[in-house]
Amino acid sequence: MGLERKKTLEDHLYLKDKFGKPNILTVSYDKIMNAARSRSIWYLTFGIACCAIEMMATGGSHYDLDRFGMFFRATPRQADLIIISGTITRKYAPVVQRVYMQMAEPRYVLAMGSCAITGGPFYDSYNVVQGIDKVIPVDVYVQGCPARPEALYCGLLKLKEIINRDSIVKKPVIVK
Amino acid sequence: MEVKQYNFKAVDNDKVISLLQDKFKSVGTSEGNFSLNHGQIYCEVSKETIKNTIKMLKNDKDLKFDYIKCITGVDYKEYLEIVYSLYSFDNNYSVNIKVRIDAANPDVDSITDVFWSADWFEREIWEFFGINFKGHPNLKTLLLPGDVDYHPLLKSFEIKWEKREYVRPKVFE
Ligand code: SF4
Repeated sequence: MGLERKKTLEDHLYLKDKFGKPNILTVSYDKIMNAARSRSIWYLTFGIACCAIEMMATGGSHYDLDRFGMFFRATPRQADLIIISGTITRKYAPVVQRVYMQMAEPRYVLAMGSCAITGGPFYDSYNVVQGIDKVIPVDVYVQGCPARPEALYCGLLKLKEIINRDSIVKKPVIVK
Repeated sequence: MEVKQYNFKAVDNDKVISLLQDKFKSVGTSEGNFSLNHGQIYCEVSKETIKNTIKMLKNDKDLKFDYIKCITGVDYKEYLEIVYSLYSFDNNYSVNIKVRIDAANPDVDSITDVFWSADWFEREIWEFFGINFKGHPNLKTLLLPGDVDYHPLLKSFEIKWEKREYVRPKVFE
């Protein structure tokens, strides 16, 4: 059907023939919302240390996260997900916290690599925070030093499952 | 515009040392205790004369040490030491000036008004070794958070578990 052309009675009859019934989809609100949200996870352009290189490789054309509907967004206001990809120093932790607070809800956090989970190789240091979960709540942990793109995939697909469990009826449980 | 050519010049360390010794004598800043180690020229000067020495090395017409590569702090337990690494682009040689500093009362003159790029080096040494740079315009922490009360690169420093805990700001309580 051309966009310019006015719809004629024949067109409507054609559609009616095609679907057999009026064009209505009956589905629960949660299901369709979650289907849309979990297929368009936009994550923040935010790399911290060596794990960020692996994150960039995942977003690049070889591993191609775009086919899952995931893109880098350059502003926290439009991002659903923040991937913590590296070592968090004590000086930097408040900055991460601030970026996280600027994201609109519902927001998700993925801790990538052993640095973001426990401090990793720098655990016994005077200036490294032992895990980003001491600063902001984390949804998915992906281990590795650095985590391979396949592992990051696995984490992001886990996040998709988490999003599919969400509901508008019940408030999401925030684990402190 | 004329493009300046930098040709490779072979450096004769002994000649550089004798030249430096002459300069030190003529200016009279410090005697200078020279040594050669792994092809690098080291020179120990006293704490009081360090600023004048560096100023002389920079402004001298023959030496032209116009670039400060690095300033390093060292902890020898009995005393502290600062190593200033200077480089001359025109002559293709470098010199390392060492200053010995009392561990009990660590302070030294800042050289920020000679080399402006010494600013961050000195801030770093100040926070990691606790050496106070007199006359520095902006002595605050560079890599550590502002509330630290310890100097982590000193040999006497020990990590305490309480110190490593991340304290959540009020927003998250
Ligand atoms: S986990 Fe390993 S690769 Fe990742 S930021 Fe830490 S040190 Fe780098």
